Amino acid sequence: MEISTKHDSDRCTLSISGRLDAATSGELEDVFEKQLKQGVAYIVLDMQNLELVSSAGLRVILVAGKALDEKGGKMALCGMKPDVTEVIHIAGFDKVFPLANNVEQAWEAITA
Amino acid sequence: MSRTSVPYSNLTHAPFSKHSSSPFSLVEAARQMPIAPGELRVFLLDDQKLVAETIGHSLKGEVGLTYEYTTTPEQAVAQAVKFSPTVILQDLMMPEVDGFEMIRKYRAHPALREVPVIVMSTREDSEARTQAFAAGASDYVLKFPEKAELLARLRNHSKAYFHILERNVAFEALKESQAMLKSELEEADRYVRSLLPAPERTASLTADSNFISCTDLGGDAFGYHWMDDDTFLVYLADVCGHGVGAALLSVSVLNVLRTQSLPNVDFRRPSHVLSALNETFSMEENNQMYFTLWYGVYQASERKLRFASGGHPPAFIARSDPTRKAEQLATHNLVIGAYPNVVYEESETDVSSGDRLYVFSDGVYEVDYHDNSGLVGYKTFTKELSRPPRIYRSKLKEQLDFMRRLHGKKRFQDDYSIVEIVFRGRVDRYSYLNEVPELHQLERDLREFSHRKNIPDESQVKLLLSLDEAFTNIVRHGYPQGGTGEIRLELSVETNRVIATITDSGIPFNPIAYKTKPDLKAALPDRTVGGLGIYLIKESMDDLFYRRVRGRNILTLEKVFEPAEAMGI
Repeated sequence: MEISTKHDSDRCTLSISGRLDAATSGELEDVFEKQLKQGVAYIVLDMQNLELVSSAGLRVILVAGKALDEKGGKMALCGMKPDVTEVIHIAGFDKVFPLANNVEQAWEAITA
Repeated sequence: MSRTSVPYSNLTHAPFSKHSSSPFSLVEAARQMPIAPGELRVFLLDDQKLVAETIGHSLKGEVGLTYEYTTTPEQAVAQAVKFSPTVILQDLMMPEVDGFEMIRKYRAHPALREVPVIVMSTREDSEARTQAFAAGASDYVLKFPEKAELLARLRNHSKAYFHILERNVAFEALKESQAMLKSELEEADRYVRSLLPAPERTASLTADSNFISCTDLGGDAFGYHWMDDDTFLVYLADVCGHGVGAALLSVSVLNVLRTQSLPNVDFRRPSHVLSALNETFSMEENNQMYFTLWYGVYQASERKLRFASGGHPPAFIARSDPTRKAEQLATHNLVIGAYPNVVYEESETDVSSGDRLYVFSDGVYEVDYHDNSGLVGYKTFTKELSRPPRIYRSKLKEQLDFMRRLHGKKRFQDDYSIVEIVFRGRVDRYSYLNEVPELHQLERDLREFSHRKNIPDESQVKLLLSLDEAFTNIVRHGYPQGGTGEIRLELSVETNRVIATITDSGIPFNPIAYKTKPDLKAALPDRTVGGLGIYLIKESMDDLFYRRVRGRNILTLEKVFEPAEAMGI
């Protein structure tokens, strides 16, 4: 899995690619922790190059989402492929995170 | 009121314990009798004390005789119950209640119902006698009878009463012993059933069975199990006759096969197994009983089924390839146990994905038509078997319904025993360590397999997700004490279905029984972290099957995909 970050004051866009599962979720967890420590309150998770997300990956996203929520911040998910979207829906994450087609729409959803 | 008391209390209510576990015997029954033979216990109700004492006086000194009386009708029943008389003497004319009414009261009480009542009255008219007998009296004497006559009547009636009690005790003992025998037969039946195999479902095959015993205990026994990773054994024995004897022999044979405990015998060779069983279970040493047997060995890597039958009906294999005819699988061999040194032959057949094997006893088809027009027979039975099941995978329920329709009853004359094995595609095997990084290799293996078998991406991703979840679960929770463990994966394709069996030796865990469902409607702060993995597996797969066998968790995941894209089976 690869993770790239675009950081701007309290906002950050994270792009993840490959597989987000038990073998790789630790890396994303570390990135989230770092961003939160740096005062980030709004995150857009760009998943357009993500092949698969398992419950281990969903857990990391959920924990970060809760931490942002406590700080009054928000997270949006965007660009998912159909297989990933399906898992997001099965897990009911569409009820707690705004879903968007691309990064721009995602930022609109959480900062408008 | 005089009393020569022996505390019998209410023994006549419950002459012996209902929980006695001793088997029925007359000696035991006699020991439980509330009175001894020859014992005479006389109870009298007469409103005149003088009469009561006169009778008492005349009976005094008689060996084995105990006498008690009351002059108060209200107390009579309770006092009599306490006293446990063997005979009651009853006056007819009393100021408060008449004697007829008292007789009816005795008859209405469970403890006194059968105690003989002798009416003793000054009334000589036939109407009084008729009324007394109608109320339930046993005898009628005029006041005052001669001592000898009274004693003779008392002794006669007491003796009759003793015989009634004796009969009741014997009857109860018999009833109890029958109930005990029945419960022991049921216990044995449960034991036989507990030895029968549970359904099996892996990437290699599915196995299931149906067993309906005709009596409390039958002579059929069967089983199947993996002898090693590549060798699957299936066997069905039918001992001649029914009942305990037949069941004991069938259980012995079954246990030998289940545990493969025949010395120096290669259990991969059906003919060797039949020969060894023939020597081990000779009729002469087994209560003149023999049995028939069908024994098969499936070698998964070779896709071969080797088999031998000893006097047993041919097994039946229905082919998935419509151009291949169904076959009867039998070898011409003698029953097992009849003669020593018999040479048994074996045979073999190849097996393809979707082929269905049925092993059964003759009881499944030697079934009367409901209109008694004859027996259904092997041909009709197997013709129905050869039709593909309407519901995916198993034909067993349909077949049973079919036979029940023809028979017109739910149970059959003989044991109904049938085993069904459905073979799946050639299995690819993989092995991993219980470490998270192994997930990368698992993904590569699954992608390569899916590519080779042309499994569409969508199904492949769902299977990968589910395997990922199952694997992660085993790694994280299966080995709480730490240590290295092997996680094995088997993959196969059957028509439009990809099947993955994941096996580990970690602590027992059945994900199917894990019922916790995450609250998918909760707001973000209330969302629980965790518990999603098994939920995702259940949502992504079409079928899940779990078994704990010999210290290993075996989880089979199945995903259906579009048949047009299936290839390379």
